[in-house]
Amino acid sequence: MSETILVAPLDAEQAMKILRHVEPTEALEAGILTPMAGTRPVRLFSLEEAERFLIIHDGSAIAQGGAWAKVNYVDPAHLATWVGDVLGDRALADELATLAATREPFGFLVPRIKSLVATRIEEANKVMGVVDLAAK
Amino acid sequence: MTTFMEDKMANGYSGKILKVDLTSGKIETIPTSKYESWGGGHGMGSAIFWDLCTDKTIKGTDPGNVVTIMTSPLSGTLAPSVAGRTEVQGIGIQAYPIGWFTRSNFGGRFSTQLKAAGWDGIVVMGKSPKKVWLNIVNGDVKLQDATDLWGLNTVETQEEIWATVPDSMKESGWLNLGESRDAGRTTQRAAVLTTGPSAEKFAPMAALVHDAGNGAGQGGFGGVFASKNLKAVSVLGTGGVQVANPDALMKARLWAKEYSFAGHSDSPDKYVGLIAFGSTPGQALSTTVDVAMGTKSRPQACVGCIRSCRGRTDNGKGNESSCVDFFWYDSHDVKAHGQITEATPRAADAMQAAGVNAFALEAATLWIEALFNQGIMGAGKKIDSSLPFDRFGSGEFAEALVNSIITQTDIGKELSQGVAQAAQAWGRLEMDTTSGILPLQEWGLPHHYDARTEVEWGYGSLIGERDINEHDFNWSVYWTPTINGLFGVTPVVSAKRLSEIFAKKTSPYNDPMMINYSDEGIYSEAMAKTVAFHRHYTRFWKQSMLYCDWAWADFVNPYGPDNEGMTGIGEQKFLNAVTGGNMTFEQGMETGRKIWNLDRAVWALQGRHRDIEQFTEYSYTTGAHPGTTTYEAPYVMPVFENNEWSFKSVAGRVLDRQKVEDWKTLFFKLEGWDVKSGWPTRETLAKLDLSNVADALEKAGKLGASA
Repeated sequence: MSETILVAPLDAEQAMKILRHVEPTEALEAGILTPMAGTRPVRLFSLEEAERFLIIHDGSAIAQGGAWAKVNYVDPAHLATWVGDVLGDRALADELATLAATREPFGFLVPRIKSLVATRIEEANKVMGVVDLAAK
Repeated sequence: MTTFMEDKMANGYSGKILKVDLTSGKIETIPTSKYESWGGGHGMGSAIFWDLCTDKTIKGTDPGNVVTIMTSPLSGTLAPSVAGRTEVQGIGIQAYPIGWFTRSNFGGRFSTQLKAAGWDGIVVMGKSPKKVWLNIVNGDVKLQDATDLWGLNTVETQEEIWATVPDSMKESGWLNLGESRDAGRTTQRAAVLTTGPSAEKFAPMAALVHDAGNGAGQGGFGGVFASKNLKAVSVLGTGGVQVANPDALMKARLWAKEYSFAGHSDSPDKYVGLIAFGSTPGQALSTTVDVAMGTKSRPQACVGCIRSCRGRTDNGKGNESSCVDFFWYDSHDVKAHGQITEATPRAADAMQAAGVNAFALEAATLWIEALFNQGIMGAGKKIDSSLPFDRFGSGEFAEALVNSIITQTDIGKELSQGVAQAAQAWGRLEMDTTSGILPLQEWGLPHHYDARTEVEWGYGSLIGERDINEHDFNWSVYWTPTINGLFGVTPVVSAKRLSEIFAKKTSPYNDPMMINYSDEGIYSEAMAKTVAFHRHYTRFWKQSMLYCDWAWADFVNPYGPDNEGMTGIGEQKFLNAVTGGNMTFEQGMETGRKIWNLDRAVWALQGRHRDIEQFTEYSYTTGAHPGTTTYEAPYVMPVFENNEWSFKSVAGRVLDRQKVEDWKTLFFKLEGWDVKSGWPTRETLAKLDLSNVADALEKAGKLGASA
């Protein structure tokens, strides 16, 4: 798991909000980019789904995919807004917004975004008493 | 017009086209030489359609509709990424509200078998009084009873036909077509092009399917076949294609190898990818399927192709699927399961077996998901459905959706008539295409790329008759800069250099501003040249000569001199090696312009006028920002701003309605068409040796007024 630590502690109510499945009208819009089919919109319904959806792509491997190349894309700034507005996690939203503001290439940001989000999910799970059986 | 084949019809051509009148059962031959000046494929198809379809205002299901299935002189040869494709044309039944005269094409080995059987194409007319399939074995052509085939899916149909074409002659893997030693023999199975089960019932959504993973989806030609009581066409040939200069063809192929990854596989680090011709063959299916599913696959190509863009899997699931066969459902699968699971190939198999148009199905799936999420569709909802929406993303849901369409049950009752048609039936067409929840960009059809950002795609589709689905510019102006941008890689070719390469390779226009996708550039005369070049190039080189969209055009290539690809040199190099002619690239472009004008004339007769050439409302009002239903970002493209070329994200842009109208005027002027109507003029048609077409337009009151 990531070594990133978020400074803001969570209470149970916040943790529950972070882990919840959102309503369809609140879903996070993402997209899968593929030369063969253009950009296909994807709607993600939880922070866990978003973390799973973000894949750490290797740029050269993507290029070698040619027509089959595929990138799972979430706009970093949009993710930050969604985390703040829909999940209500301002601390995580601020961290994500800071990353987005660097305007570094998406591929460079994904590992850090993924790590940040995974850590937050782990923190929320701990608060909620969810035991990581895999870790045990 | 130049007769560019110079009496070389013996080379590359079989010399005859099969004409089948289903009404009378009469089978005749058309000499290919009659249509020589059109080259082959789409050009010949359009010209034959013009001559034989006496009333072009009929619906696609009318027995008077004429369907052509055409090859090119390059079919069945060793020319790379061209030999395996087949062009289908006729009045379609998918577009809304008018089913335009349209086209689709497919890969595989059908065109090669047709050439090997001695035919350059097939013309299907009329309507059979009973259900039939067309059985072609070399020169032996029969209409056979298809009563028992009619309800079968595409896999079952092919297996049944394979069992009947001449199975009794099978010996040791060889199929002998007669007792004589010279009667012909082959190890091939017949190439079958078939519809799904009772395709007349889901006609606008019905595709034509060949082998596994080859489909002509656009236009609803599966439904057109079924309306003619035609289930399938099977062809088996034991001949070959005469090549004028085999040595030149082999040398050309070896020359082309230097432009592909295959010619540089000893130094893969040099690979920069995401280009047309040079991409790694066979790599990709492994990366998308194998890792997640533990499935192994090997590359699979159409006849003569170097790209191998499909794969044969070790478990047979999703076999040979490519493009939207695979991608119509993978995003839903990923969303539901976090990765690609068996649901994606299961969905691909269900769709292909049913013979449903994958691209229309993808649009339908995204839309009904949105309707379900909004509480509009589902059990007991306004649009009542008992489909298992709670298992959206599963293979079970995909199969249930496909089944509902082919059985016209549940929401399939409406969807079977087409996506736009279903929206109309549910009273949602205007509402959902205004909001963009149903992004049917033009003519009631979904699009691959967005008119608001990549305008050459949108304009080409609007001025034409279908989503163009031609990636010639797309690779270089969108994918390469966008992917490079996402991963912090400086493009090998700068925006300025890109403009120079395109200027060099887009004869006869040769304008460096043709790839200026800035807010001003998209409405410019240069963009009119881009669209004109693209329509003429594809009408001849890709739809008539049948160069495959996954390899051609090759504008930019990291292995080429100064990063220049083969386009402008390669197309005619292969063609002339096969035909023995001396055609130039520019002659091909001019023939493409002639074909494009003929098609435009047909559309004019069908009711086309510039006033109805409008993008759907959301294109003018809603940007593709994150958070919108037409989310399509990032979108990095070359722009010329402040006297400088750069790559810039143009995502989120909307079109200006008046500026689009002004652009149409520029385009019509460039084409020599009447700017008020968009109809071709006599002067333009006469210069293209199409005075007879001008006469027909004048008689119908559809001839454009000269400037």
